[in-house]
Amino acid sequence: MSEPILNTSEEVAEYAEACPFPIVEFDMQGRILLMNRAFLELLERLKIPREEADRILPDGYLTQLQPVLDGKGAAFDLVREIEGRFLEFTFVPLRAKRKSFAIVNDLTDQRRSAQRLQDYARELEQANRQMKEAQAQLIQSEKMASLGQLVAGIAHEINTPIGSINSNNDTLIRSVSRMQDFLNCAQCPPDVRENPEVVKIMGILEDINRNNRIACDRIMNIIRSLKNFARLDEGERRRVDIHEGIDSSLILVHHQIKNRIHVAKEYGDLPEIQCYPNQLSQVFMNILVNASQAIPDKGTITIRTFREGDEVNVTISDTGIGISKDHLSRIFDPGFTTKGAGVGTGLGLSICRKIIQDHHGRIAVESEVGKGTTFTITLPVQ
Amino acid sequence: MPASDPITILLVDDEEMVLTSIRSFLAIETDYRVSTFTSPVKALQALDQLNVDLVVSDYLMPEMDGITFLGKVKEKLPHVPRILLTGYADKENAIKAINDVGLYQYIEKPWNNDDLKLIIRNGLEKTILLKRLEEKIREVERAQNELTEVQKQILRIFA
Repeated sequence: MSEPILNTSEEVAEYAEACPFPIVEFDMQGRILLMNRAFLELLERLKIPREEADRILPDGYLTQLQPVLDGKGAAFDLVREIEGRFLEFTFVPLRAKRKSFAIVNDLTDQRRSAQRLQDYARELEQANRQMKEAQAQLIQSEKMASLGQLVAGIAHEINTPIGSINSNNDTLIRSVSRMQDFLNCAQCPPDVRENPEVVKIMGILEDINRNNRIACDRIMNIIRSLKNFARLDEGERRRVDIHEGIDSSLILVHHQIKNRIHVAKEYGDLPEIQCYPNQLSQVFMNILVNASQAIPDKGTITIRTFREGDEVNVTISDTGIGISKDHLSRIFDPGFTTKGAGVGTGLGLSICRKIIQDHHGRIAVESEVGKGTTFTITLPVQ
Repeated sequence: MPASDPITILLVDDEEMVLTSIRSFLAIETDYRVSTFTSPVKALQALDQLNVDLVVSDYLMPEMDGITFLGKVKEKLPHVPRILLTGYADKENAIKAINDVGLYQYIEKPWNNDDLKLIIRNGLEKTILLKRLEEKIREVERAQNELTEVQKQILRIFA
């Protein structure tokens, strides 16, 4: 191994001059002693005159440098921002000569690319989230479409037999009533009329018929809801004042509201909107019925309407029992109900959502247990 | 209409259960004679012998749909009221048929018995009124002929 070649200071100065990194030498009073070509170019880029070259050095570097020159610690880095550029200074102490030099590294481009990368990542994340949402919506709407077809098919299949049963039940009621008329008439022998077996059978027939009628009505009600669900395209598209729709729905739910619930109307100035009025009335009705059912005793339903750009908003708030968090996320799911057998079909709100979506609108719900629930319907004017 | 000549209703539905339901209801509530067919083709064949006053038909049937069937009934018996019994999905077709085939009415399934009875009775009243009108027209024509005859005689006397 040969001896290391010691460069002359002249050679070192040449290297420093040719080095592509800006290099600056200064003494412990902060006076600039030397600057290489790259450093002068940096000053030019930053539009700092040569006489003010010390401005470029980061604050407090001398204080940090002092103990290093005294033999405590080694070279260190400082980063500062000047004229929109991020500069990294690596301070190298020259202990023997009580002076120091700094190599400058311009981190601006690096930082900018990092920032840009972060922005891209954020954009990607957002796009991904949007895609996931769109996918969920697509699945949901496809689910609804196929459910619609299924429901239409079922409703159609059940229609004939239930029609038959319903008619038979009515005929049976009439027949039993005729039978009773006969038993009560003068021609009927009293021992037949008062025969315990006859009396018992007549009683059973009447009870069962009454029961069947209730059961039939309930089935037909469900079928009617299913039909509404499956046949949402019916009816005419018109320009209407939706206040009329809300008011007519209020009339229909009057029996549930009566003197128990105060209805506060805060109607704004709305343009007429292009919609299927029957369907929207169904939505208002559904939410109003729910609101009135959520209020156990006395309370208030507030209906507020207002315009926002090309959209109209309807909020229906109740002071009812509210909806718990885990129920809130499911209330628009078809078949979800908390109302118990025979009261709700669990289709109401899913139908509402379908109607609003078909109108290119949105339906949202907010609720607090014990405080009440607010439904917000947003519809485009066109 | 004389009591000796009962009113005949022709009822066609491919579902036996519907026929039984309506037949039973009409049996307890009316004096109509009810002829039922599950096949519209067979119903058409029997039409001539039945002396039908009113026809009720289902819409969706495998052999022939109710509108076609009632159209054929119209060709044979133009004055007989025709009622279509429809499932909910056929409503638009039914409304169209009221115009195209000249239906008297349509009833949606599941039907209400009282509505059915009322629609049948109103339909029959229409036939009865039409029949009476025809009779009156014939009477007037007869009277007119008699008058013309008398007029001729008078003219002959004065001529």
